[in-house]
Amino acid sequence: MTPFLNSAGQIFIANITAIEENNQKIQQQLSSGHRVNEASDAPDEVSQLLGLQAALARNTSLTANLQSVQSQAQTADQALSQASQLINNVLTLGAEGSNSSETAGSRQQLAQQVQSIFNSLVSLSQTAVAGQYIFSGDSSTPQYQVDPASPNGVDRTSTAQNASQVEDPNGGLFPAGLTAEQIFDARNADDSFATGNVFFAVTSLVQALNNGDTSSVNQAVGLVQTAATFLNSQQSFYGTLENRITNSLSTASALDTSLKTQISNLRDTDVAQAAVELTQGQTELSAALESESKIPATSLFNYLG
Amino acid sequence: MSDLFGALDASASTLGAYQQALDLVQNNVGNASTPGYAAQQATFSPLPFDSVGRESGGVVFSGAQSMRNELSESYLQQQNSDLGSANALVSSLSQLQTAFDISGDTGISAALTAFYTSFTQLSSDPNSPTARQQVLDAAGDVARAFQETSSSVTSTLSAVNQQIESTVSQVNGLASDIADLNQVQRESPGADPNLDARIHSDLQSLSNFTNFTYAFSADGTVSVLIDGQTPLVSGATVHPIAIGAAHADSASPEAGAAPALVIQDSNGADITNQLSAGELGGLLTVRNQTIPGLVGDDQQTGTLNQLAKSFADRVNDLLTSGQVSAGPPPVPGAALFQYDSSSTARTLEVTGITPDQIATIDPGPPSSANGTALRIGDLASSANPQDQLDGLTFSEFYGQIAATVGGQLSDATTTQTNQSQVVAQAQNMLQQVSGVSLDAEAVQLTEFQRGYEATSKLISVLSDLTETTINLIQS
Repeated sequence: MTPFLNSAGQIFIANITAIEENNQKIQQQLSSGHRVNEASDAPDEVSQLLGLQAALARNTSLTANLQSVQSQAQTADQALSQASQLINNVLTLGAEGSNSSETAGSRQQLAQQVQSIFNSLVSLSQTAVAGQYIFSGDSSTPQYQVDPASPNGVDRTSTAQNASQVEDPNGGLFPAGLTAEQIFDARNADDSFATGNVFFAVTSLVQALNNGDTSSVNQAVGLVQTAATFLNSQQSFYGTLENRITNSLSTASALDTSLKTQISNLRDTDVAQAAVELTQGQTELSAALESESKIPATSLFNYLG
Repeated sequence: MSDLFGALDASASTLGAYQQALDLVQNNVGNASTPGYAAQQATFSPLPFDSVGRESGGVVFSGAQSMRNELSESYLQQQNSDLGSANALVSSLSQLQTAFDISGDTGISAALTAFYTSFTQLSSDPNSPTARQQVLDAAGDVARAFQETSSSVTSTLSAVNQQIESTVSQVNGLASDIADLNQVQRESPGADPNLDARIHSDLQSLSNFTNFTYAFSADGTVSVLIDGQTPLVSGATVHPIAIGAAHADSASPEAGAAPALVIQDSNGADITNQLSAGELGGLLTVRNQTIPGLVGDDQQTGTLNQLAKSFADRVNDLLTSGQVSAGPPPVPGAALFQYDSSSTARTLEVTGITPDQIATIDPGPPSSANGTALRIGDLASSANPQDQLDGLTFSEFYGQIAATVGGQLSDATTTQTNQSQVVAQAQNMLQQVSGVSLDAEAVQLTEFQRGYEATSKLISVLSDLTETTINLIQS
């Protein structure tokens, strides 16, 4: 139906409806703190906004991963420091055992001490952080167990070569650590024991001390010295890793701030501007209502006798 | 003497003319607020006067002239149609937009983000049973989010279908009413301003629902043509429109989607494209364009289905090309998602994969124990074209889908606001041209009242003169 009476009032209603709807929208922005609550609020910005939100969530996850790997790296570094100290102890015992004044019995006692240190080295290769074996690659179990019958004194339970990688906020990937095989059981391409193989070197010393052969002991001590040098080079990997993680965390923190700022610029309400617009809208509404109330509702009929 | 009688006759005729004019004013004032009523103006015709030839003169009421301006009527109808279309768009799109949350707290956006996060967390501890189960849970949430969104869009489609049905019924109802009024007009030829008001009121109401043209015949009946082409009303005959359905092509991109809705004329011809304005036009736009753009029809896949398929395929590709174990022998990963290609989003679900079948190893080279998990986590913001859809990440593409609906709604809302004001101004203009002005009617009333009183006085004087003359004759 199309009423004709007071069609000017229809214009008034249409105008104040527009003012009221705008005021309502501003109030919602102020109460929610968000300028963009629905896609229709800013269609041109929605895709970018959701992309930024996803990127922020990714950065948060990567930061948590970096912090976890940082903890693992620090633990691994400490474990390798202990291993280096143990190797130095082995060298001391080996030097003692190579003394021609040592008896077979004393050398056997030295062998037991070296074996005990060897067992500690194997335990270090089983180091875990938060239930995760940090030297086991993609395996969920320790890579080595003590096996006196083995040439290198251990039983290799897995040949996991796929060490995990850690991602920095820029998408760069770097190894999160080394496997126990890479640190303690270095191998050649044909899987033979490589120079610097810690397990083989220490086991060789144990065997030489048990045999009581001075030249064998000297030879084994040489292997252990080489293994000690190799162990130090593997430990330097973790120093480098820790530095890179520190830099990555710094980058992640800056990226977190940047993303949050971008999201805020797109989504959040400019409170000051919104308050001004709301005040202006309420003033317009009051003025419109007051002026409409002053319009006379009479006609000539009211004055005819 | 005969001149006196002639003068009396002329005065009586004048009195009658003023009486009819007063009746006209009464009808105008009484119908001042009647929808569709146009003010009537009294017209008078002077009678011949010749004092020598004994023509008595005077005036007769020669009828009412309608102040209706059909141009203004048509303009208002056009604006009504545009407003009706905007109203329908705002209503339907507002409901549709609720399916596409952009807060990042719920819906597809939140589910995708949680899914990527679950894989990034898994990458830090690939062997964690807890992390693996969380990946499966997150995958289930993604599938559910797509299903619920598709379902919500389908619900909106059902609601729009019902609204179209209701609107078609209202159109046919108004057409039937107009036809009945035409019949009354035929049976009672001659101008009836009140009947004319009812017809024009129905036409204005009809303009809210659809676009049409109309024309009055010599007998006063009106014919209505949808979009100026298809007869809706011809005299007393109604040509009702009806809802039909386009034939669904089983080999179409989304065979499971609802076919397009068709409006047919009384002969069964498809007139959908003619309905470009009014509520019907707006509803058909949402029904046959907006919604199929999301969930597909026989012509297109739909962006929601496109997103679901691309996302699921990419994740499955990464998992199946990855490894669960490096072996030997290496054990490949299993697919995580499956769907029915006839309706991808609606049917997306997690396969029967178990946590230990989730591949995290990337065989490379170089190989990495958690490379596959990292790559899936990177889908959140990867610049690799293989990880994108139309140059956008999956989250951004979803945002684009939401923006499409939001953009249409924003435009429709702006149009609705502006058009409301335009309609109000058009109504005001029509009122000024065709409406009843109480002030003008009061002035007319005063004039006719004075004329009536003067004529009555004249009759009284003529009566006295006649009596005097008669008395002279008798004496």
